[in-house]
Amino acid sequence: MNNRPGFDIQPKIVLLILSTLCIAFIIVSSVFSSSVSVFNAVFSTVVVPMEEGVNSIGRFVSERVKSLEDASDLREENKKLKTRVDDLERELAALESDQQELKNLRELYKLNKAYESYDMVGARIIATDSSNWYNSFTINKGAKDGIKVDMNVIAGNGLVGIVSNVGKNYSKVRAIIDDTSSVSAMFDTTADNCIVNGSLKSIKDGYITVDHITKGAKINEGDMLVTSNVSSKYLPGITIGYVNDITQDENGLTKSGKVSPVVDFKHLQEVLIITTMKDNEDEE
Amino acid sequence: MKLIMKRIIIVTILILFSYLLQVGVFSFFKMAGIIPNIMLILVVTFAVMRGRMEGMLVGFFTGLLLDGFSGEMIGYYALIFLVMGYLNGFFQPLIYSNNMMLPLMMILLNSVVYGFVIYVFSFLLRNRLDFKFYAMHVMIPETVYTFFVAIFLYNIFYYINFKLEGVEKRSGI
Repeated sequence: MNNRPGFDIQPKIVLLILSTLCIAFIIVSSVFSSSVSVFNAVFSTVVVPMEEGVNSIGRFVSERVKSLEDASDLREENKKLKTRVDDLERELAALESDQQELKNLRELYKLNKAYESYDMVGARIIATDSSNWYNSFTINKGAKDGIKVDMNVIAGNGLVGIVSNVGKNYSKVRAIIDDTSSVSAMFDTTADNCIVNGSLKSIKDGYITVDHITKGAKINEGDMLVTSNVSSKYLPGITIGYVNDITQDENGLTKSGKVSPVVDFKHLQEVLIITTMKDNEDEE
Repeated sequence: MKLIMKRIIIVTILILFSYLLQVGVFSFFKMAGIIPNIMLILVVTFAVMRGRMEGMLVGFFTGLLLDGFSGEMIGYYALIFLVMGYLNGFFQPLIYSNNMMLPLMMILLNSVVYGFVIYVFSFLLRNRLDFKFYAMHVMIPETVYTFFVAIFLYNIFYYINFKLEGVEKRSGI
């Protein structure tokens, strides 16, 4: 017995129609990328509020589970910590004077302060990517909060990624660790340009890759990478991470290495979106 | 007609539920950085319970939902899940009672094929050749996790479908 009365059409024909439809969708959306956002708008009104709700439930549950696990550990830890507090208080006094010195030096250096002048909007991550192949996530701010595609996203002191897609009340952010991401970067110290590529493979070990460093670049392991002045989408001077394991490429002309991002992508919950965009800046 | 509406509404809710489960809830319960593929469980389950037509439709709309939020290309996941629903539908006559073995094996098999297809079209074509790495770190963990989640979810989906079919049968359709 066919369980669906009224559906006497051959499944084969439906398959044919729907596959053609899918292929047509694929072609249309790859050729006219703006059509994608029209399609997204349909979903955004329904699914995003639910996502936000479920997300807060999920967070609540995971925190509860954690707190149960932790309770017994905490008691023991508490004892140990109390003895440590005394030790640390002594150390703290010594450190405080160092701290003041560091603060003064920082002010001179003004390294990470460069992008504090940009306008920013805070947003919460409400969903991660639906597959295990990509590193992107959904945030709870969208077109109605003034978010546009290609806006830079940061957290703490470092670059998180770029807005790849905007709906009415949500946007998708592609992280710099995503396999399809590549960021034009430069060394903070020498301004040598290079390209930072996300990689699904290497992020499992906690780093992403950098290549196209010119052979003669005077760089050291541990140097800081920031977004480049010549990047078309990224604002200049945003910290990406620190370089290590620099090796000579086979072609003899360039070097490549590993980058440890400054952002902790595993525990990201809130991000800042810089609403100043690279294009606008150029026009000014 | 009213019963078809009822089924459509319930299945739509299930699709949304699975999506939210996948991106909202399981993102807090990752194992080795991996989330299980709930959408795949849903599509395969409905295909083997209800046949080609419904498997195909559930797959198509599930895929569209994923496409809607992956944001790059519309129709990519829709096509994969459409074909998946259709092919799995061929196994419907083999499912009789509440025997979980075959559906679970189907989910396992589908997950492997799905991982492979995504690898080929999204990674191999971009010159990411290290198949072994992707198999070890994405495909196999995803399959294993999906399989264990499926043990629970299959029963839930089965029960919902069982209730729905009960109502439909009593009404003499």
